[in-house]
Parts: sequence; structure tokens; C-alpha cells
Amino acid sequence: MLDRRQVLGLGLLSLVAVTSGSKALLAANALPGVAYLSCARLPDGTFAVVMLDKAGSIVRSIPLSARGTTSPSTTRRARPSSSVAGQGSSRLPSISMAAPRRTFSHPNRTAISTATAPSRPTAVCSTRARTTPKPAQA
Amino acid sequence: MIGIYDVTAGFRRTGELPSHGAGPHEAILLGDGRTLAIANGGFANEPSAGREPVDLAAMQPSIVFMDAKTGALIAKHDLKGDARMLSLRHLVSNAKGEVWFGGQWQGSLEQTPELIGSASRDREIRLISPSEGAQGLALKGYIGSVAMSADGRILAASAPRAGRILYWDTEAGRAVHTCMIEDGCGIAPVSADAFAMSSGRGVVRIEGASGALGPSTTAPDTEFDNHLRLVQHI
Repeated sequence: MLDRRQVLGLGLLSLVAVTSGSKALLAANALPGVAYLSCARLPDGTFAVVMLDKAGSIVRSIPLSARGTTSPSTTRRARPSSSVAGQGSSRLPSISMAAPRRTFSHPNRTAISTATAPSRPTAVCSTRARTTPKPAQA
Repeated sequence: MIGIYDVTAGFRRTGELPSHGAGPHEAILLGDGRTLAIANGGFANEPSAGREPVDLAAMQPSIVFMDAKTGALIAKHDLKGDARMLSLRHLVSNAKGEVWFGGQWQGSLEQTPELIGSASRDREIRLISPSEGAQGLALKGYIGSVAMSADGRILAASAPRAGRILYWDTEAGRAVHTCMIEDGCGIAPVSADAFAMSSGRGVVRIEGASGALGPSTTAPDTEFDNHLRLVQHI
């Protein structure tokens, strides 16, 4: 669930916030100048999705309520986490935030991701669209 | 277990498929749009146990190829023998339809095997055999992220505990270059021969797989997460 700080901190155009149960999904349009997406702990100790330009400078950030990661390793920790999924070339990322005692698995390039076990408090999210250019594949 | 979610409907869970192995860590959709490749870490995660694996002696890491629609098992390749405690984690595919992975060694450091390898539907897991000497120990037993160059030939594998990124030519079967970046883990393809990397020290750097340095910048007092995604070429 988004809090006020998160909403105010977004500062993005065309932002749509949709809350659904334990998750909050953000979607927005327009992503000029952004080449890379990651998550980070910022100097003030807070967590954020960070969008980087092609030189690697942070050009935008979206606050998160917990550590953000695209790593499934957090499924080994029973703690809230946030997972980030880019939406392709012209859209801002979707963000799903896990409820307490839930963690996310890998927001991969597909609409399918992994979970550790269905009976455990593990949530999964994935991307709305491909986030990286697909390597040449046979 | 593979959870399936409808990303157009608020991430509503619509079903699940078997992962055909314990501890699935990453799944990627291959170029045919139908086959999922899954890296099974080899042991079940127990949230209450924190980051400690539950039963190393029973580890069964595997690479699985599965029909994404039906969940039918196409192929399963177990990692056996001395490398059995190499938890398979991150995956990427290349131009030949091979799946390349990076693993994390759960055994004693001095016994660290190679951490990088490949498999395909029709071929068992094969760890790399660097002619210039073993890499697993130098990489401190831990690969945090992998990426494939845009031309599908060069694999970049980050080893944040060692502060290294290894570039591996998947066609020639040899190391191309190793670069040093403290706590560097996030890595993303930029071009046919260059990658972007990020670190827990706030550094973002572009580097050619041959070692040619590109632009670098540092966000002071910022710690980037273990993964970096290329959103778009600009």
C-alpha cells in the first residue's frame, strides 16, 4: 500500500496508482532519457527505484517502502520487499510492493516468474513487458 | 513452483506450474516463446531459516526446460558429482539457444568449482574449463548476475564478493577479460561488445568486454542493488 510520502515522491507524469489487496501497482507513461533501471539504497537510508541515463546518472527515483530488488534472493528472507519491473522503452516501471511476510521473486523478462513454494507466504510478480532487449536467439 | 500472474489485471494469480526441481530461482522464456528455462537452486527455501540453506547434503540443482503453457517437462539436467553443491541461480540464453548460468557455491571455499556453465535441451550441464586456470575460487564462489551481449556471444558474469566481472566468449570457450569493480554486481548489455555495470558503492560504468573503458559515474553514498536492467538504448 502506498503511503503519502511515496505518492508525493513520485513526481511523475501520467502516474496511475492502483492498489489491490497487498499490492500496489504503479504504471505511468513517458520515460525520456532513461536507459537503465535498478534499485538502490539512497544516501538518506531510504530505498528507491532509480532510473539512470545512459551515462549512469540517476535521473529519477521512486521511493519504496522497503528494500527494492530485482533479485529473487530475497525470497530467502521472510521480510517485506519490493520488486520492480520495467515496461519497455517508453513506460515507467511497474512496482509491486509486497505485504508483510511476503517477498517477491524475480521480475524477469516474461510474464512468468518463480516462487519457492505455493504454501509459503511468498508472492511473485513479473513484468508487464520485456525489460531488456532480447539477445539474439535461435 | 512457478507462479503465473496476469500482469494486466493487478498481478492476479492465475495458476501455477511445477518447476521440476527444488528452489527455483530464475526462469527465462526462450526465443521460441514457448519454452521456459528454469534454474533450480537445488534446495528448498525456508523463510524462517533466513539465508541458511536447509540441507546441503541433499542439494539437487538443475536446469529445467519446460513447456510454459502446459508445464510439461521437456528436459531436466541435474548438476551432479563434485559440483553438486553449486546452487544454480541466474540464467541467460545465447544465439545458439543455449542457456548460460551463474551459480553460488555452498560448500567450502577451497573446493569451489567453476561457477559458470551452460546447457541446452539436448545437452547436459557443462561447466566452463578456462584454459588460463580455474576461475571459481578467484570469483569467491559467488556469481550475482549474468548478462549476454547484444550479439548473443559474450557472457558477463559478476562476482561481487570478489569485485570482479568475468567476460566469457561462449563460442570460443575462453575468457575474454576480467575487470575489477568493488562490489560490482548489476550488469546489463549495452551493445555487441559492451556492458553497463553497477555496484554497491554507487558506481555505474560502461565497459567493453575486451576491457575498453567507457564512461563512469558515481552516486555518492548510494548502494545499487544486485541487478541492472537496460530499459532502452538512447
